[in-house]
Amino acid sequence: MIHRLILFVVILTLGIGLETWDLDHTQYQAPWNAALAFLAEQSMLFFKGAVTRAGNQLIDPVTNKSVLVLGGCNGFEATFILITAILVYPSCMKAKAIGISVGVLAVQILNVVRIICLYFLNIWDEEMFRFAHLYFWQSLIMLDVMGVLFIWLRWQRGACRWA
Amino acid sequence: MKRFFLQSLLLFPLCLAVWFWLGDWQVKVAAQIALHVLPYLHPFADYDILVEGKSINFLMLIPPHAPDPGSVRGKSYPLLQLSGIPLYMALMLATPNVMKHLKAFVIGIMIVALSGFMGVVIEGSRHLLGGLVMLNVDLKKLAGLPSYALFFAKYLELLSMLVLPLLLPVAVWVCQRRDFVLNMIASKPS
Repeated sequence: MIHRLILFVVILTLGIGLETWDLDHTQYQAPWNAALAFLAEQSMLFFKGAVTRAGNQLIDPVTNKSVLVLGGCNGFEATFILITAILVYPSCMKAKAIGISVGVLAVQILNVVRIICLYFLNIWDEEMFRFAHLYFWQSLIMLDVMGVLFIWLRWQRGACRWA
Repeated sequence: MKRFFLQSLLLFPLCLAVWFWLGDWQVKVAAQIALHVLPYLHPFADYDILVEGKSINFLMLIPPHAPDPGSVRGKSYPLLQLSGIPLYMALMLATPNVMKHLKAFVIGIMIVALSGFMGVVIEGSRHLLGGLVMLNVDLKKLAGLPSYALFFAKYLELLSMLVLPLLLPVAVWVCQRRDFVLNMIASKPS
């Protein structure tokens, strides 16, 4: 138990170190941010929303207000916490692989919803945008991570027994 | 499990509203702690701390004989580091028998808050280190600080801003309500 906890802290520490290294978002985070912006743009266009995109920037063509998808907004930390928790938990490889794939997808889908929500909030009210961006969505994504993790913890016992 | 997460989701906005309403008071406490702790970390820096609503300005004063006299301003939003409190409150309140664990609840809030206050100190420290770099001060000569101190301070800042407010409330809650968590994981899907 203790060695797994230490492993969790070590992997998480290294991951955050990697993010600190890439604080200017020019290396591995840039394509991720652009992909999230692309998914958010496509989702909005699908529902006939008005939006244009330039790299990781989503721009409202009417007001010219924009949101940037940067480190801290890309769900990197929450995703990394989830992956680390699944990796260090004693379970079979198959369950871990499924847990990580489905979990990352669940976190990133909610993250795209968050980006879309923040895009519209920014157009509507900048104070509300700031509040939702800094305080509300961060914790909501963590609740999502917890939900995914707990469902996986319950599911993986049966999944490993069948393997 | 479904019931617990639904309750957490419903309680979270309420806890967030209460926590934000008490925001000014938390920022003042954070500023006071930073004011008392930072002199130990940066005995050579000349600075001031100004509270502006829900933000703190770390004002690094640059002496008149320096190439660019004036000041370097670093803005901090302490509620960012303290944002783990409403998440912890929502998790605890959604867990059954919260009244029996009132003492643990208070201790948990104090742990999460203390971590947030230390996060504000770390961010302030990073701002001051940034100011020292702008002053072209050799960091090695300042209280034995190595030259990679700025990277380390940035790293700690990221940790205290983005990871601890998410992870610590959950970790404290799991430690305090371990039986409930284990039951929830072990129970058959509802």
